[in-house]
Amino acid sequence: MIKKMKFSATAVLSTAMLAGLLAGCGGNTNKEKAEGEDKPAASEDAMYSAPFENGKYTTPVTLTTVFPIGSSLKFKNGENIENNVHTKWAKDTLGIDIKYLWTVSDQNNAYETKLRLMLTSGEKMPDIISFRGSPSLISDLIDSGQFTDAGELFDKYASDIYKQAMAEEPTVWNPYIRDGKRMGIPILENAYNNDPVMYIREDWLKKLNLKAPSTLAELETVLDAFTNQDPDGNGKKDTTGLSVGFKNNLNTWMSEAGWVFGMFGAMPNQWNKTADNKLAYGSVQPEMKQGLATMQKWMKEGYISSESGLYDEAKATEAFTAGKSGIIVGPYWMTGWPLPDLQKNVPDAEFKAYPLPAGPDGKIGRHGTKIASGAVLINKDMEHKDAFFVYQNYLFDNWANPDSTTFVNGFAKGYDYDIAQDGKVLKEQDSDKIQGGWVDAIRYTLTYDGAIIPNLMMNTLAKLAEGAEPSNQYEKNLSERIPEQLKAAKIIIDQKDSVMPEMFTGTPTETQLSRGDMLEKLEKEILNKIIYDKAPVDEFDTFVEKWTTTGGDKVTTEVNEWYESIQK
Amino acid sequence: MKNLVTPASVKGEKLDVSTGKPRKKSKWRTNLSLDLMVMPALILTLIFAYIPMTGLAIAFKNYKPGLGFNASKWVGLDHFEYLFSIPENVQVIWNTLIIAGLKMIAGLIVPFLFALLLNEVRKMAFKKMVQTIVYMPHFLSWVILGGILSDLLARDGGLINQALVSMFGIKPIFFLGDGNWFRFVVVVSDVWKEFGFNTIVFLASLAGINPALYEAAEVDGAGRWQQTRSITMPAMLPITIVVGTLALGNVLNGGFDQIFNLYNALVFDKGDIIDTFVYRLGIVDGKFSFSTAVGLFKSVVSFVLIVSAYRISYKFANYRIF
Repeated sequence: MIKKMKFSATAVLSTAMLAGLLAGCGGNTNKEKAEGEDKPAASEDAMYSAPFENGKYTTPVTLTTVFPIGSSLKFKNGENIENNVHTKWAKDTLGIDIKYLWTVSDQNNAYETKLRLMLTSGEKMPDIISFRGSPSLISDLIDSGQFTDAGELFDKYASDIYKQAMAEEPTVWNPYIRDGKRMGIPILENAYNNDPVMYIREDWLKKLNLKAPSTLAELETVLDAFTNQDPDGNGKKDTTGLSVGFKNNLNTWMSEAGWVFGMFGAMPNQWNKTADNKLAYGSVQPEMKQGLATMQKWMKEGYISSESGLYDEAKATEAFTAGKSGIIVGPYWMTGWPLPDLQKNVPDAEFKAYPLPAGPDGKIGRHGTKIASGAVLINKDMEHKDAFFVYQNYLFDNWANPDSTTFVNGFAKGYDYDIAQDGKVLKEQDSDKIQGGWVDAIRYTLTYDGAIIPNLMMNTLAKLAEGAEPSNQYEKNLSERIPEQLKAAKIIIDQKDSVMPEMFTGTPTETQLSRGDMLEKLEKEILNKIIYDKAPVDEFDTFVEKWTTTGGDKVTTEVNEWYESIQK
Repeated sequence: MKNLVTPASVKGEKLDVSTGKPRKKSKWRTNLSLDLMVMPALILTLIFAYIPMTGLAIAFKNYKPGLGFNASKWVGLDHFEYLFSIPENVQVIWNTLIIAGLKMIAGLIVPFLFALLLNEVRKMAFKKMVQTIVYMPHFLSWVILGGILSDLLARDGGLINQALVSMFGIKPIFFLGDGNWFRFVVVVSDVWKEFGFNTIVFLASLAGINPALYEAAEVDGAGRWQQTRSITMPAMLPITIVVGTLALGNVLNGGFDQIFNLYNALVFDKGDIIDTFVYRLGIVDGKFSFSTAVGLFKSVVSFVLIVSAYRISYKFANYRIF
């Protein structure tokens, strides 16, 4: 666990928050004292703020929050987010009455916008806010001074399993630390969840008598064949070797191209660690040049579509699922969506997951996955601050914990599973046999996915892919996934040494805020122009110089100050 | 179509009718009922358009949501200085002016000519049908059109490029990835989508022309073209000026939804407009003060342009909206 006093730089950057926190108090010491007094005597003689027996509040306590209803969230039996199997469960099992101050259908960032409005209009905040998304909003929320030191509460109330899960990657707290206090509880995600693997059209490889590429040179042979030798056999030159979409970023979540640069030891759009233990922005590191030259060549040869710079991540997959492109790189879960569309469009098509190829010097590089995707903030005026932990502990101890048998088949019978008359457990794929359809009830939970122990899932999948027998219900459930998904997971774990993690997880620095858009625009424009051969590769040097002089050097200094501050 | 508002009633002839009634009331009592009818609209405008304007003050502050409106520091004209001190920002303003200007001009000429042509069509049913069809794209959202256009205009395999290549044997054009073509696509597609609306306005004014004028012209031996030049076009001048004046207010509106759905890094230098810029800064990066400053700058320019355009049309075309 990180020590409190080590965050001087973060503290400097959050003076605004400090001002808010200290308003009305003489100084830091007074504040702490005041906080101590806030707590009723209950904290001394009992762990809980209300009568508590057998893991449940004897009289239900209220917990208020707000919630974004994503488009994938489905309800059944006339339920809604305010009143459903999850809220009933929380009340019956834990004695927690969850009240939603407001909910919003989360399109076009409506949730974020509404939270911002709430903040700007000075509305009263709910007891807890859980938010996944823009770090700057979390930062603004923290700076409002309306939320309490969540880390302290975490240390006091979190269960062992919850604490162990959080300790798997102690840096998850970094973005939320203000003046040594952990102001938000990170929402944990599955590790390696978005790490890329390479999917190749296996039937094309066989047809053209090629072997799966393991080096850049072999890859280019395959790309050339996929582009020029009419692998779909329709007599037209209408296929491309590789699907990428870099309208947003080169290094992105699907249809991505970060690994191309990884072969040369670069990783754009993120902060990488350099040999002398400093942080450097990937898109301006000298190794980028070879990656750009490669992309430029592929564009010229037609290995990648000339629309690639216009396509976002989802649009770029369409060529692959339509059977017009031979290779795509993305997370292991692409085997569940959108890749199955390929067989719908081209019935005899077959894809297979392969490891990422190595560059000329044998380098392999891929981006990593953030283990925390957002945070839960706890209102300083919340009456029963322990209630959130009672709730989350239960989910960690029972939902996330593979040894627990509470949620053997799923969250709620008749929702995310059902049991047929012959005793067979019905799951998502038997949706039509579950009355009212399969509904993923765990997504109703306060932190959106119940509870997740970061390293557990991918390692288990990899283990199962190697043929291990499932030893408990959790492993058994995972073993029922699509076989190709298990294989992809195994490749992810096998290649885990190639991860180039995003090293900067702090809040955006001052210059990032003031110059960020300009620098990003500059970067996107020139990188695109080079790939499209509208500018020579050497233009990269001019770009780096311009980037550095128009604010990039300041951003680098600030980011390194932050990095030093967390290493002390 | 004949029920539509004609320029005559815009000018207030109906009012004259109501005040010209034989029984004379005092002016105050006549106006009272009218004033009351206008009241709700005035109050709504006040609440939703004028009171929020006080929020513009954050353009001169360093607004931080956590601190709130009052506690944020005043910074004077810092944000405006920043806007104009960076060449990329100035480029964005130029892009907006060029794209919006082209849209404005084309958006005036095309419906004007189209209305003239449609007016010559004798068959009523055909005329009505065409009118409806050209108005239809107005109801499509740019999100949908953006997807359709990017497929239609794709460099390899797009329908339009396939047609061009087979007809003229040219190299495929990278419509959405080349700055100049991008502007062209933006202007043409916008005009295509919106010209139906102004066509209807122009047709309405055509319907208001006194047929006696044409009859007299025919008696005098004027041909079709002469009639158009000497009767139709002058009669359409006032409404053209109204439409033009209203459009001037949009001279810094490049059309956010359109550009946002079509642009990409390759055309940033020619296609990034104020609105997309403000979106990235204000919504994505959360820089409220700076984006408000840009918005305020935009509004002031539009305001000045509308007022001066109105003055000019008042002076030279003797036209008044109010």
